[in-house]
Amino acid sequence: MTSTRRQVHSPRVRRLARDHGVALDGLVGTGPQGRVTTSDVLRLDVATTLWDNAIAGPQPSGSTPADPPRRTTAVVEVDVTRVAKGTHGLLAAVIEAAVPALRQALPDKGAGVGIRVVAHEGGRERTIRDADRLSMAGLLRALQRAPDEPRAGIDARPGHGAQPEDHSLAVHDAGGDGFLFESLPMAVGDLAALSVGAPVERPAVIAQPDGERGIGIRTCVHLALTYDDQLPRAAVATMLASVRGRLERLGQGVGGASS
Amino acid sequence: MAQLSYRDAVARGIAQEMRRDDRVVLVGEDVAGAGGVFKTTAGLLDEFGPRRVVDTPIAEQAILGAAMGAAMTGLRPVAEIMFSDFFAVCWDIVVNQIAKTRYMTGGQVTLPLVIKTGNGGGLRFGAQHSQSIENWAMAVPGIKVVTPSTPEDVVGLMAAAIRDDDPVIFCEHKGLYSMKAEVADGEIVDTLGTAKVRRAGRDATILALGMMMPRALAAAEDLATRGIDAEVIDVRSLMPLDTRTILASVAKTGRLFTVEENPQVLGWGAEIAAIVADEGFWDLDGPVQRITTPHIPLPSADSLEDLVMPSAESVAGTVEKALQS
Repeated sequence: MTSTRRQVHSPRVRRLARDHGVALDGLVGTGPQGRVTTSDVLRLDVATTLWDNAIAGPQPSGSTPADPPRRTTAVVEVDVTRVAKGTHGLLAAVIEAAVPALRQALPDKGAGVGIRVVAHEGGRERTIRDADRLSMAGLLRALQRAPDEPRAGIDARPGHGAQPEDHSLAVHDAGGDGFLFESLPMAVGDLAALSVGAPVERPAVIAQPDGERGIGIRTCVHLALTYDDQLPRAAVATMLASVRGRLERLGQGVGGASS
Repeated sequence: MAQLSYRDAVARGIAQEMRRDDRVVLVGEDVAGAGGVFKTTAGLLDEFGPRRVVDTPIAEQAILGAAMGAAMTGLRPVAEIMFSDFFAVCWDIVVNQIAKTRYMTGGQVTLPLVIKTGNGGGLRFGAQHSQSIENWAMAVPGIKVVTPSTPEDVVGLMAAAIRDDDPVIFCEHKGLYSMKAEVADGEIVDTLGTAKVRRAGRDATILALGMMMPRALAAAEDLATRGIDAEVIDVRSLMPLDTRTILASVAKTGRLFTVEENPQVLGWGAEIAAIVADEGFWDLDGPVQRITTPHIPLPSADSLEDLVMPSAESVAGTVEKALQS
């Protein structure tokens, strides 16, 4: 007589597997009695992604799966004198400006497609789902909540529970470490990575109320966007210009800052 | 900051509120002249006099009837039921009168009273003086239930209970009366319905209260030496229950264990297991386990009482076995 043991997965593992698109049928895990653990699911997600890339064959662009993705970093300087100071203020303002600009730049703008932001600050990571539906206050609240759980050294697809169709924008607080900008590695699933540099005060040419140009002390940051082939270069230019415009026009009216 | 015993903390909490509010009075068997059979009210008669600190006959229904009448007419009484086992002789006034008055009068009459009681086992008092009745009390709508495990929590939760406009059953664990710990100087007022994370961890959540708290903490330290990082939460208040803290911990660890001095049937752990099944099911990485006494009255023999009550060793053993199976 052959005994067959029913395969049992805990609710936590089943949810994680669903969220990461990992099939559990027939798997033998590393837990007691071969049970699949949450770490197994996360490892499998990475392995599946790499496998899918490997078997996808030559891409239309001519690159092979073994080639590293082609990525470019574009940098702009933005006058953020009008942006609220304080913890998370600059980061929230950048996210609020970047998310609609990214949606504009996306080749597919389906109504069902959400934008997920993964905010990196001082080694902590926070995933903000549906970032395009949050107000500035909502973004600030999201940035103040507890960081995501560390995921056992796996840095593949940021965020728990993201829908597969969601686009992901990684936003890094490079300024927290004093960097003007940082060219960032992108995790699997990220559409682009935006580094927010350290704010610096500098003299800048500004438009005065009488229309003449003058010199003013302005607070500026560098925004560096690392992106791959999914985003056309023209769309990136439009996006960064839009982000800069939104940040510089915050507050009452257009102040005429330029750089 | 000074060392204070759990028993002295009871008197300090009551005295703090009696100094602040003339309406606070204390009634019970031997609470005045004797300072309480467990010495939890020592010094209160001297400071506040016989009109506010009142000895009563051995009649639990009369004690609670007097307290209820005093509360209805504007005082904020603290009544003592010496052993919590004796709630069994006065449940009618607790369940049918005290718990329901606010509802039956449409909110016109509130009963701001505290029933303090010596609860729990481990002191060789036998089956009729050792029960843990917090799970009986939490089943009664209209009653709040508090179960402190440290001297500082005794002071702060007693103050919060006295200031609350609803009836509160305040379960002092008899086995903790002699424990001492640092207590902050000055006025201490805590918040009902809040749990405390006593030890942070990532592998398993252990819930406990009263005398099971120090045992759960000892179990967690033992587990740490075996590579299991347990989070220990002091429930402190069964009604209201801080489900937010409990569910957040389960979301982090995926495993939940309750350590209860009461029998397993309809214990507070059963209610929390049901809440987690409703609201935290997808966070669970294994079944909720309840570590309790068996479904028997607590025995009198020392060796048997030790055998049936959860210990640090039995808690650690249960958690370790569950995580490895």
